[in-house]
Amino acid sequence: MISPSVDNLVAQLTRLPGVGTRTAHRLAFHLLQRSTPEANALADAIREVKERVRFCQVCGNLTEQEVCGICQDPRRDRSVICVVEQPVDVVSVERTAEYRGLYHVLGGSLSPLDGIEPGDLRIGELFQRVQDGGVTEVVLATNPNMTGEATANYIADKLRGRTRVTRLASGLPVGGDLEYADEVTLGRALLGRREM
Amino acid sequence: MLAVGPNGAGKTNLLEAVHLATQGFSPRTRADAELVRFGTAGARVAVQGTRHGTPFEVELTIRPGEGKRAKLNGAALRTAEQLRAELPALVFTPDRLVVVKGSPAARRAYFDRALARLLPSRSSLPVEYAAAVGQRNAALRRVAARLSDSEALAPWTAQVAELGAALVTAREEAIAILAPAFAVKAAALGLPEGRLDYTGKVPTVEALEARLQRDIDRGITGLGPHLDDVGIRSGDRDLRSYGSQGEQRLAVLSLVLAEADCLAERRGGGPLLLLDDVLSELDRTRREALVQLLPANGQTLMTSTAADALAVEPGQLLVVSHGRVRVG
Ligand SMILES: Nc1ncnc2c1ncn2[C@@H]1O[C@H](COP(=O)(O)OP(=O)(O)O)[C@@H](O)[C@H]1O
Ligand SMILES: [Mg+2]
Ligand SMILES: [Zn+2]
Repeated sequence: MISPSVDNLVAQLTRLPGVGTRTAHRLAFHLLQRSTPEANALADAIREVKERVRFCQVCGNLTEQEVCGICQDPRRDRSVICVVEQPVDVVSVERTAEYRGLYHVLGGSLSPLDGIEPGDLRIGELFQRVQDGGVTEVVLATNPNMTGEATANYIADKLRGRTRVTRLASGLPVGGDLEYADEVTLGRALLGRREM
Repeated sequence: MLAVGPNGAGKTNLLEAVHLATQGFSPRTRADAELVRFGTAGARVAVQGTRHGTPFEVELTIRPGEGKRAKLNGAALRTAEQLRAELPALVFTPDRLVVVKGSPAARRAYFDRALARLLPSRSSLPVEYAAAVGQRNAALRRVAARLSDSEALAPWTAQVAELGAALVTAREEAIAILAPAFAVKAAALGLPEGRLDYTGKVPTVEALEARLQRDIDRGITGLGPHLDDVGIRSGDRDLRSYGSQGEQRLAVLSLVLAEADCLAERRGGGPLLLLDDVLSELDRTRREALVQLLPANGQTLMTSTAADALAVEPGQLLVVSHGRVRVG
């Protein structure tokens, strides 16, 4: 115990994903060594996002308006919806500059072990968007892990017959050496090989 | 190589250190703290050798609270466990008898590890399948507690069915690879007609749905390869219930030797064999048979309390005493 306020800061930091007690202590001491304006800038930034940022009413992405910039953009193709787990996944897909459709952010993946049911994700909202019409394809871009697959499965089942549903292919990281690919990734890429 | 020394000299420690440095984990314990010498702050193991003719160097360090760090040829690995994909090592220790005489769970765990070594591209299947069953069981309990409905269960039933079918197929393939070699090794060690029998139960969606109410009532998935067993037999005799202690030991040893051959054939280089306390329980003919059965292009490290348990060339004898090793 150093001081109750340091303890409190460490406790708050430990609640962040991926931060253990050790890291929390390091971060706390780092902040203490910074100048007051520098440390306050962090506190202000946190306060500001909480005041200004919310979830887009249409797609669930982060935005400072009611409806996000992507949903408002008239140049986007409104007939395609790409379904992702988290807002950060939108950023990843956007970086490709290949995708011109809209998004739907679920807010996570199904996981009964963590008490996460379809009703806890923005799945009903997705079905409503498809119901409203004009959607010709739903691209499922949930994570390529077990819960991501189950979530994609669930959505695909429910949308069957209502619109075209596709899933991202799994492959190898480009620019890397085959030598360094793990066996599981390489095995899946081999299964998904294509004619040339 | 043969490591000899009295009880408590440190022979098992030596084997464990070699396993740790080549596989990134101990065959005995998951607790890093147990691997650090009493009264010291950390541990370090370094091994050098050649693999397919090129130099191979690993350094592994442990600091309690920080976990393990490994370097392969000077480059840091993301996790120490990545080492196991580099150079397979197989272990025999007296407590491995549980593979034959223990519960079905012990056999499933053993054969799933063999599966991961023999079919590396499917090495994640056992863990993924177990996670799917865990999620489905949680979903079943939520349905029973009226926190959820059977519709929310459907994706987990689908995952269990898909991964379960893939796991059964992979196990069948792995056991089909092992079984002939197992029969050969077992026969050479004096255990006739060695057989491995596996009939996996594929949990189809239809079959899972047919027993849905029972599963909901019990809160567990009552069908699938998480309940399978592998029969280890000599002729028609199930060695699990009807094998003597000696026969069970020969069966485990035959499994290890069989896998060593299969790995040598599939990977173009034999694995590292670490055989602890195996000689003392074998008579002279079987000891000599064992030496003949070791993979020709791999390396083997054995321990024994008796230096004369096996005839080895001088450079191949390690004398262990009070935690120190010298070439005998
Ligand atoms: N973490 C540890 N630090 C120091 N000594 C240990 C540690 N764990 C076990 N030992 C000692 O190592 C010895 C056992 O060595 P072991 O390799 O099992 O001997 P053996 O040659 O019979 O196989 C025992 O004397 C035990 O007290
Ligand atoms: Mg020992
Ligand atoms: Zn939006």
